[in-house]
This record gives sequence, C-alpha cells and structure tokens, in this order.
Amino acid sequence: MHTRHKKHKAINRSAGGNGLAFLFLLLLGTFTALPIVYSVINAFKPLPELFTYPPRFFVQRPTLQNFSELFRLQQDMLVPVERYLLNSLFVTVVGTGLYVLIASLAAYPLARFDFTGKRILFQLVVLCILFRTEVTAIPQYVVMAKLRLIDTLGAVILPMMGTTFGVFLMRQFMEGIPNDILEAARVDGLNEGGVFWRIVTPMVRPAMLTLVIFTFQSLWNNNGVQVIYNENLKLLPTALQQISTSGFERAGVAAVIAVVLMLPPILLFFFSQRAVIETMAYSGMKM
Amino acid sequence: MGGKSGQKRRINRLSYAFMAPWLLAFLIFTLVPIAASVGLSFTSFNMGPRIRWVGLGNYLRLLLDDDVFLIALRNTLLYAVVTGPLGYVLSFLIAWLINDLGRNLRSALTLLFYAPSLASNIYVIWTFIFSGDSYGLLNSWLIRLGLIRETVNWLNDPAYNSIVVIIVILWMSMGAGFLAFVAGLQQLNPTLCEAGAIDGIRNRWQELWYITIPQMLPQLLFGAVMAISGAFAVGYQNAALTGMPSTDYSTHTLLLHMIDYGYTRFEIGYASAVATVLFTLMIATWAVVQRAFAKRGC
Amino acid sequence: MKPFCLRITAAGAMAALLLAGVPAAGAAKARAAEAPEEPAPPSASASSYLDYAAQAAGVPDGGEEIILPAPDGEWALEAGERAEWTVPLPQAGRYRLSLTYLAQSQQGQSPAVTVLLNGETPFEQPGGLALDTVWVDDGVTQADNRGNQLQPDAREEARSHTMVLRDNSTVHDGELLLALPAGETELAVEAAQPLVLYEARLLPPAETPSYQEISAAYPSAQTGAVWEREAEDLAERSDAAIRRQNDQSDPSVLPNSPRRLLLNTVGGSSWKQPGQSITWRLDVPEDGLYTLSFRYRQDLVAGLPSFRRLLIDGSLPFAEMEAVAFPYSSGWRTLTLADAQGEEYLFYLEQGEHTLTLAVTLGEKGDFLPAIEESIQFMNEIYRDIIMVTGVNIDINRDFNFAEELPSLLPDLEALREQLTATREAIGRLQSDGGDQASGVLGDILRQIDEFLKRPSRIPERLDRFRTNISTLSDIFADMQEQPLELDVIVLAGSAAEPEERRSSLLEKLWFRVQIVAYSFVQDYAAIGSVYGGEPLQVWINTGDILSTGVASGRDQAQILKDLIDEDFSVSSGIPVELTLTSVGDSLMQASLSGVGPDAAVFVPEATPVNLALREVAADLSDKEGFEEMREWFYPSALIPYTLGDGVYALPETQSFYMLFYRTDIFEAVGLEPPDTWEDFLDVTAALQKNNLEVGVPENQAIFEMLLLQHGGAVFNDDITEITLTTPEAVAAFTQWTDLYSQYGLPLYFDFFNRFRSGEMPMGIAALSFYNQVAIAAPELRGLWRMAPVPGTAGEGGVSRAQSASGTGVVVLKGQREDDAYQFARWWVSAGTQYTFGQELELLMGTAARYHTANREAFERIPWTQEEREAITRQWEQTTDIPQSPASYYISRSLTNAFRAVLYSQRNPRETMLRYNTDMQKELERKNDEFGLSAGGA
Repeated sequence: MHTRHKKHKAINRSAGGNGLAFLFLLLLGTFTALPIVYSVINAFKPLPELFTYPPRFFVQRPTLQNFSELFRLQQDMLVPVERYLLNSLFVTVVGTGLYVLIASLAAYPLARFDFTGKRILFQLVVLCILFRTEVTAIPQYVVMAKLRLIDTLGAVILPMMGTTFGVFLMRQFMEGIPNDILEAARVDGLNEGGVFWRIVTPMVRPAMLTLVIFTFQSLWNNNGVQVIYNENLKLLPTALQQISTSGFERAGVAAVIAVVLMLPPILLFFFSQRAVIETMAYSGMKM
Repeated sequence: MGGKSGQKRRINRLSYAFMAPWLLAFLIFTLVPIAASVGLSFTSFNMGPRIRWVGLGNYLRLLLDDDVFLIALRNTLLYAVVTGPLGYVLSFLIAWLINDLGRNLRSALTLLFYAPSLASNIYVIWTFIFSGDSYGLLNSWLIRLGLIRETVNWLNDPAYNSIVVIIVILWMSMGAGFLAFVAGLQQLNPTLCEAGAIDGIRNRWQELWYITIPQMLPQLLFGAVMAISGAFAVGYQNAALTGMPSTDYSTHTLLLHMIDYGYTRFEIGYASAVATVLFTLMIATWAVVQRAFAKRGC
Repeated sequence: MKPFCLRITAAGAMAALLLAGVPAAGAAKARAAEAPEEPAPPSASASSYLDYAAQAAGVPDGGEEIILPAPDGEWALEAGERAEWTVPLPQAGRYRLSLTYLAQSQQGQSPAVTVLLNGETPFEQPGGLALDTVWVDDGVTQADNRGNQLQPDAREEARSHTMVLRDNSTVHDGELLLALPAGETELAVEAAQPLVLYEARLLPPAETPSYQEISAAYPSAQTGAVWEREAEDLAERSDAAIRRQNDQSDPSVLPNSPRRLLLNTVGGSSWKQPGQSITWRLDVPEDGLYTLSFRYRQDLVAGLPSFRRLLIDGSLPFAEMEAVAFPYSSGWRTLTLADAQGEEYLFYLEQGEHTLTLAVTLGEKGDFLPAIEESIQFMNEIYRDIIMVTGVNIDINRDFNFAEELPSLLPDLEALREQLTATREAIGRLQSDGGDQASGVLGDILRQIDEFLKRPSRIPERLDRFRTNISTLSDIFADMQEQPLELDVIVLAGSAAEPEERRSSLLEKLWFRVQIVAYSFVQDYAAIGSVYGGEPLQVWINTGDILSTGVASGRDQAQILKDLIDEDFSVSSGIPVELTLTSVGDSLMQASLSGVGPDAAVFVPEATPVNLALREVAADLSDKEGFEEMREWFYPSALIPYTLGDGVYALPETQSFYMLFYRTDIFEAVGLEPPDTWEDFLDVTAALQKNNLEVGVPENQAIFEMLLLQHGGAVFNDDITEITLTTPEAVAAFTQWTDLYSQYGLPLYFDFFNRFRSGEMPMGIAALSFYNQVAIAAPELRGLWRMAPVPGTAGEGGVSRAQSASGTGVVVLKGQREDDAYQFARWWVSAGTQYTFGQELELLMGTAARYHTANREAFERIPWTQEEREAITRQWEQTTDIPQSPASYYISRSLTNAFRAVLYSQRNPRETMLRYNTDMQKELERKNDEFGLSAGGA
C-alpha cells in the first residue's frame, strides 16, 4: 500500500501546487475547527469572562472551577448522575446494537435476492431518507402513546429501528460481495442464516462499524426531552442541560457540559476512523 | 418443493423472514407516521379536539394565498442550488486535496473537516463573528481596514443575512458525502494514473477529470443523495443565526415554514402540506440526478 | 471636558491603610489625609463606621463600665421610639455598647436598632444595627415513610438576650466602639421594630487575653476522654435560614445511608453571612484539658478560607479564637484548632454542660476588604474618566493626548498603583491559604498600570483588558465576603487521648456510590410515597432560562419546589405529588393530546395557557371554589394574560416588568436628576452623550407596548377582534420607539450589566431581574445606584407609567384530577409558599436568584429596602398587560419586522405600521375563525 501511494504522489503533482493546496487546506481546516476550539476554551473561562461583551475568543485566566462545580453539583443531585449515564449508555448501546443487527438482516435480501416487491421496497427505503422527520414527529408521538411507549426508554430506541439509512448503507456494501463465495458456502451445507452470519457479516464489518458510529451519534445526541418525563429514565444530555438553565450562576457549568456531551461521538469517530473510511468507498450505488 | 414457482416462494419467504424485524419497526415508526402526515395534509388540525377534512384546501392556500411560502420556496431553492452543488464540489475538492497527504495528516484533517457534523450546536461562534454591532469580529476588521464606515447588521438586515447563511451552510456541508469521497479516493487504481501520465496527462487537473472522476462515480452519486437531502432541508442554522423567523422572512426556508406552522402555530394539517411539498421537490431532484448519472455511465 | 472629582474620602483611605498595617506616610498626594490633632471624638456625622473609627482612633479607651438601666426595669419601644440616657463622663473615651433586650423578627426582618449620640447618628447605619435572635427546632426531625429525613420547622425563641453591638457591614466586622466626649452626652437607642429593652451598658473596649496567657493558668488535668457532637444536632441558630444538609459523597459523614436521604451535616451555602451563628451543647465527661476538632468542608468559594469566631459559654476563650480559618477543601477534612506552628490549642473544661458557638466573621479578610472596595471604585472612576474622553467605541487609530485632555489621569494611576500595592501586600500576609486569585489579578492590574504610565498612548487598546480585570476583581471581592462552611461533627478529645479520625478510603466511597446507583433502580424519586397513599398528582415544572421566560428554572428550582411540596403541601392536603422537570413548551400540548399529560404545570410562559384553553385542554379556574378571593392576592394586571373571554386559565406565579436603573454617583457628577417623563429621559440622554457616555434601552416589544400604553393606545379592541395599531397613539408610540435608535443613537446591542458596572452606561431600562444581577455580582456598586419607575408620559390623568408586564403562571389541565390540581395551584401561589420558595432560592443561589413573585403579600416580605419597595410598588401599580390572543405570536413577529424595516431599510414608520397592521389583522381574523372566536368568546 505504501509504495503504491508514493508512486501515485509523484505523478502529475508540482511542488508549488502541493504547497498551495496544503496552505489552502490548513486555512480552511482551522476555520472549520474554530467553533469546537471555542467551545473547549469557554469551558475554562471563569464566570466574568463568559459574560463579557464583546465576547472574547481566548481566555484570560483559565480555571478549572467550572469542572469542579459540575462535579459538586452532580453530587448533590437527587438521582445520581451515574444513573443518567447508564440510561444514556443503555439507549445508545442497545439501540445501536439492535439497529445494526436488524438493518443488516433486512439489507441482505435487498442486496442478494430477487423477491416480490423488492423494487418497491427499495425505492421506499431511499425515499424515506428524504422525508423530513420534524413533521412526522407528532404522528409518531401519537403512535407511541397508543402503544404505551411514552415515558419509557423504548420511546427513544424504537423509532430508530424504523429508519432506513442503515438498511441502505448495508445493502450497498453487501452488493459488492462476489457471489461465488456465497454459493460455495451454500454448497457446503450452510443454510441461509449461516451464510449470513458466518460469511457475509465478517466481510461487511467495516460497514457495520460505520453504521455503529452514525447510529451512536444520533442516539447520544437525542435527548428524548419530548418523550421521557420520568426522572429515573432521563438521558444524560437532558439532565445536564437542565442544570444549565438554572440561571446565570450556572453559565460556567453549561460550558463544560457542552464539551462533555461533545466528547463521546468525537472519540468514537477518532478511534474507528480507519474502518469508516474503508467502508465509505463501497457506498457508491449500483442500481 | 420444486420448480421455479416453488423456488420463488422459498426465496420470498426467506427474504421476508430476514426483513421481518426491521420491516415491523419501519412500518410502525416510519411508514405509518409518514402516511399519517400526508393524510393530515388534507385536514385542518390544530391539536384541539377536532380534525376537519379540507381536501386540497391546504395546498391551494399554500400556493395561492401564502406569501411567506413563496419566499420560503424561493429561499430553499436558492440555498439548495447554491450550496448543494457548491458544497458538493467543495467536499470533493477538499477530499481530493487531502488525499495527497501522508496518512496521519490525512486522518487529522479529515476529522477536522468532519467535526462540525459531529458536534451539534456549534454555530454560536458565527454569531460572534457576524454580530451586528462594532464588536462583531467581521465588523471590527472591516472598520479597521477602512472598508466600511458604519457597522453592518449582518444577521438581521434582510439585504445581507442570506449571504451569511449561505456561508455557514457551506461550512457545515462536509458530512457523510465528504467521507465517501475521502475513502473512495483511496481505493483508486494507481496503474490508471501511470497509464494516464504516459498517455499525455500533464497536471493534476487533467488527472482529476480524466482518471479520477470516472472511477469515483458510485461515490459521487451517493454524495449527491446526501447533498440533496441536506440542501433542501436547511433551516436550523438559519434559525440559530438570523432568528426564527428572520427579518421579513429573508432567510426562511420550507423546513422552517413547516416547523413554524407545526410548532408555533400548531396548524398540523398545514405543516404537513408544506412537508409534502418539500418532499416532492426532493423526489423530483433525485429523479433528475439519478437519470443524469445513469447516462454518464456507472 | 471636566472629569469629575474623586470620591474617595480621605478618612476612608486612612482607615483602609491603617487596618492594613501600612504606614500612613505612604499615602499618595492626591488624597490628603490628616490624623486627628487631638483626641476629640468626631463631631460631624461620618459616612461609614470605618470613617468614624478612623477619626476616633486617637480617643483613649473608656474607663469603667457604665450601667444604663431602663426605668422600671424595662422599656417597651415601638418602631421609631427611642430609649434615651444622659451619660456624664469625666473625660472622652471609647466604649462598646451592650444591650439586654427581648425582640423578635417581624415579617422575616430581624430586629434592629439605631444608635444616636446627641440626637444624631454618628455614622451611617443603613437598615439599623442588627440584633441577635435565637431560633430552635420546633419538634423532632421527621422522615417520610421511605426513611428520608425532612427539615424540621424552626421557631423563634422569645427570651431576653444580651449582646454587644457590632458593625454589620459586609466588608468589616467587629464590635462597635463609640467615642463619647467629656461632659454630658445624650445616648439614644431607636428601635426599628417593637422591642423591649431591659438595660444598656457602656463597656470599655475588650481585652481578651492571648492563648499564652490563658494556657499558662491552666490546671494540669490530663484526661483521655473523648466526646463527639454531630453538627446537625444543634441547639440554637441565629436565624431560620441555616439548614441541615444531606451529604452522600462520603460514607464516613455520619449518619449516612445509600438508600435514604439523611440530614447529616449543617450549613454550607446557608451559613455564610456575618451575623449568622450556630450553638451546640457540649456534655463534657470530666474535668480536663481538651482539643477541639471539626470535620468540615468548604468547597463553595474556591481558594479562599472561611472564618468563624469561636465562643465557649458565650465568650471568647482567648484572643486567637476571634477568627478561626477553615481553609478551602474540596472534600471532608478534619481541622484541629492549633496555632501557626501546629501546636494544638488546649481548652480547659469542667465536667458538665457547656455551649459552643461558631459565628461567621470576616476574619483576616476584613483587613483588606475595604481597601479592595475602594480600589475597585477608584478603578471604575479612572476607567470612566478615560471613556469620557475617548468615547465607548474607541477609535484606536486616533491619538489621544491624555496629558491635555485628562490631566489627572497619570497622577490618579500613580495613586492607584500605590493603593493596590499596599493591598496586595496585605493579602500576601493572609495566614491561611487562599488569596492567590486576588493576588494574581492585582498583579495583572499593577502590570497594566505600569504599562499605562510608561506609554499612555497605548491606553485605548489596552482598555478592554483593563475592564475585564476590574470585573474579575469585583467578582473575587464578592466571593471574599461569603464564608460558607459545612460541618459534620465536633470532637472534644482529651489531651491524653488519640481519637480516631473519621475517614473513608477511596474503595469505601466507591462502594457507597455503587450502592446508591443500585438503589436508584428501585427508588421512585418523584413520588413521595407517604403514609397517605393514593395516586400521586402529576405536576410538571417547566425548564426555562431567565432570558426567555423571565424566570430561571432548572434543577435547583425543581428541587426546592419538591422539598416544599413534601414538607408542606402533601402533609397538609394529603395529596402526594410527583414533580417532573421538563420543557413544557414542546411537550405539554402533545402530551395532553395523547393522554399522557400532567394534571398541572408550573412556570408556564404567559402565552401558553390561553393557547391550551383554545384547544380545550386547560381548565377554567374562575368557577372554582375560592377563586374570587384569590383575585385579591394579585394586581389585576397579573391575571390579564390568562383570561380568555370569561374564563381564567392559569394562576399568576411571577410577574416582572421594567424599571429604570441609574448610577447616582455619575448623575451627581454630571449634575443630573433621574428623569420623570420621556422628555426628561431624552434630555438626560443628550447630556450623558455629550460626555461620551451611553444610555441603554433594550430593543424589545415590551418597550413599544410601554409607549403605546402610556399614550393611551391599545393593541386590540375590547373584544379582541381587531388590531388597533393604526390609531394616532399607536403610530406616535411606534415612531417614538424607532426614533430612540434611529434619531437618538441609542445602541441596539449592549451588555447592560457590564456597562452599567463600569459606568459607561449610567442609565438604562431593564427588567426587575437586573436588580438581582447588580446587587450580587457588582457589590462594589453598593450605594452608588438606584432603581426607579420607568419614564412616563404626561397625559390627562397625570403622568402615566403604564407598561406591560410579563410573567409565568400555573396551569391546571382538564381531567379527573382537576380539583386536586386546583388545590395544588392554589397552595403554590399563596403568599406563604411563594415567600418560602423565593427565600430558599436566594439562600441557595444568592440574591442573584431573587424570585419575583406575583403575590403581593409575599412581595412585601422579600427583603427589599424600603426605598426599593416603594419604587417597585409605584411602578407595579401602574403596570398592566396586553391580553393574549391566538394571533399574539404573529403580532410579536410583525412588530419585530416593522421595527427592523424602519431601522435597516429606512422605511417610514407610519406607513410601515399601516402595512403590518393589515397583516396582523388578517392573521387575527383567520385565527379567530379557526377557533370560533369571532363573537368574542370561547
């Protein structure tokens, strides 16, 4: 891989062009990262600096006070903060795990089999990515209310199960698998379930990882504020955000919370980045 | 069972068995609400006890009697046309430039550019830059450079806030499509590059056009889908920057119009109609794009 | 351009320097100070006790004790009445004044007296000198049936008490010393509230022996006895606000349980102001020498210690106990009283009952707090002087010749530098740790001043940072005045004993935490599950930030409300309540529609109840029992937004409106009076602008409504079917509104708080909540600002100060539990509940969290000063509100657009108004139609 890259780089590239390109990227990149850096800086600002107007970018007297205040506040909470964390983790882990599983299962026939209604279903899958969820939120709420799901963690997990993005992604990837391997497995006596589990799944692992990242991000940021009211079941983003609305005094803590909530998706992305990039290459469509 | 039809039936049963869990969730939590929304678009419903059937009433009102809708439509198309392709091209361009760098640098920069999509609600800093008084960063720089005399209210003045919005949307446009490009570029076949060089390709731009892009068509199509979905559905950034609603609805989009009617005025039927119109627009665009790619050859 | 003169009083500076131990000779030349030539007591009324004390410094200590009895043994004084004595003295002397009295708090205000010498107050005594009161628990600590303990009620004891009067300012605390001249002096004590005076005594200044002297006289009595007192097991406290807390962060804080909430500590943020004290009973097992240890935590004020004065049996055991330092500690620590070298102090105690008292005191901080306050004021003045030359939006390309335009600048900076250096040294000598922050900022500022002095031309660009430093210093200053302390246990250990210190290992803490989390799965935090059984009432409390709803509402508020419900409502009504914190705006309607909504909702924004009513989800409360008499609880304006037709769909909780805030010191310097009418307002604005200062009026619909109402206009016609904004009054109001910005150059965006604080914007209109902010976050402005009703418009009936208020309400939703919910709502908006809620909130988060209740009686009890209360009431009486309609959101929107059209696109105000009026009218008709309201009723 490395040698090939080196060769590739040498062709058709001028040093000047490279330099320019690099500069361009660096500038743009810094620009893009600015807001995140700003968020992080804010977390270290003492209260007066958070309120100064005009707002300043850099911090004059960095302090860890906001962090310790958050720590102290969460100690005083009626429900231990670990509980909220567990709730959020439950939702994200179970939700992600379940969704990746059933989306993969559903994608398999769409990719490899020719069955009645396949065409329609597939079109439906793509179209539903395009329909905006803001308005379906209300009918969806009513559905969940009728099913007595409101105020349970299911109200956050289950709607995710019905989305089509995952199915679409997995299908694209599964399409690229050479048929011979599958045939060979069938000949060897594996039933379809075994083919799926033993052959297909390992081959599409990068895609699954990608889906994991996207689903995790989506579930983690969903604060379920519209469907969960029970104190015990609240999710971490909601609980933390509710601290920050208690008044001016809590502005410093709010800044820390923003950073804390931002971390898990970023960390997850960072660590699985390579797998992600490999996956995306196969996501091009073949119709 | 034997024979073609038996085989067919077996495959059908198998397929649906695999799809069953997801299909169930899909039906209940996605399809039914969407169908309900479309259905609601033919009614007048305001969260009160009564739902009234009005047929095409909402749509007629939308097209004939709603000035704001027309503004929103115009804005949505404007933003979609400008930022869609532009964001698309920008994503690709950046991915392409990044590709030439060493592996670690590439990873770092990829994260850097993808970051806005990862961390939500980050556009606060934009209000700081574009703030309308003399302390806003842009204003203070321009004044310092002597380019303007008085502060410009970038976010609230209808003459300027569209431009600001477009810039911010572009900034946030590096999402899933961008990642697809980055990865796709890594999968390219280098022998083609070499062959091309021998055949007379002199600089990177020619390489791009003749070698790179044709190999990237599948990813380009995927990126197009995501771009369409994203471009037509802009709204949250606008609201955060220029207010909801913006002055004289100058940066209002269909999405915002829908949210306005749905959550501020609680006219659910009407909001559903707007949603359906938006949806139709996206389908239409998707159909066109699909055909264009088919012609180019996959 | 004339800069105004420095306001630092000469004596004040002297006092500060004296107390900081710096020789007076170092004082800067700009502030002439003279020590009194002869030991004569000050004749003119000094402005503060410190000034007075400085002037009286030369007067010798008084001689013997002088007893001043009350005629017939007791003197019953009504508010405003005086007890008077004539005191003959052979020579001038300084004395402390001790009173024996019987007094009780009235309406939440502690009893206070004013001291007069020869008919005049020798120094300012704002609010009077506070007298100690004693509060005890009324009954035993109760628990709910899940085992969680509840705060016991507090009861004030009515018994006679003797105390020496103390200075109760927030920057200095200590016993008062009165300087009486030779000859006859009339000494008077005036009661602020009814009290009974038994006796007064003039005592010579106290001389408490040092530890060395006392310990030299100790009998040698070794003992190995150990005795503990749980701190929450207190006997008396000085006011009811001091609370017990529950701490589950450390299992060794006893008693503790992972499953139940036990009250195992006392104090924390509720025990931090000078004047507060707690007393415990000690049962000493045998005669002997003991050490005293306290297990405590001070994690609320970062980096600074909290001080306490320690008394045994009511008096100081030795001088060092005047101020005991409890250093900052993020976890629980044991402090054994010891001297600077680490030698533990020994106390000789005889067997039997004794009392131990810890009282909040400023301790070492009192040495330099006044100096910091002066410095901050000085810096603000310098900053303002500069601004008045350069203007607020500094053109950094311009060269300012300060030598010419502001000749006093450089000398002032020199003086400031001297003052700050002295203060910094004083802080450096702070024995206990802490003060690094303040030291750091002072260092920063000193560096800046040096830069300014070296290169005055660069001042404009550095000004920003200078201002931020001032703010930072002010905040540290505010922090320093608070002395929070949380106590777990008091340990008396005989000198021969080696008691085991309470401690938990990391593992123990972790295990405890795990248990807590595990129990969280079986706990139902929302329901109280008391003896009463039955289904709990579902109440939602809305989260909101103070900027959008005018009320800050988050976990803190929810927790307080829950406590109140558990301790009061559920107990008296027998109705258990489940309280849920959620974002009402998004979910209430959906939830109610789907049948999963609550029975009542609290802190609901003004516009929501009517919207709910239109959709037949909210209950009409006007027919309910007791409603009519409830009307009296509020001003009529409070009920307007919740009225639709004949029905009322919510009860008012909070009400807020705008007031005028201005800097009295700047007004004095420029020679201005606070404006009465809008014309005056514009005149004042012009005068201030000439001095390069600014005025702030928020760009807000409420201002427009204010002008509209003052002109006699209205948004709607009587039955809310028409928008009436095309009337001449409306157009005049709109024009006036937009003119403020387009003609008079008022800024559109500004941070009023910081600008008001620095003085750049000495006048502005802001919501009542602004008071909260300034009072607590800008303590250096104490006495330099005031709140007044907004400018009015002269009309037929006099000057109208009408404006539209905003607020939140409690909504009752239709359903089976309607009546129970109504009962809850009624309880919630009643005076007692509203007052207690506000008080708890302030205790927890400071005056910055002051709660603006709509309940008139509760308002009376909130500790506003008399002057503030008058100003607020004057404004409140004239306040009204705009009715809500289904198209109200549209009206807001249109007004904003109209405003911007005039300002950015330079449209004509009148035409713009006409155009938008048509729009609004159309929408109103459409909405009325939708809800069938055209006939003017629901």
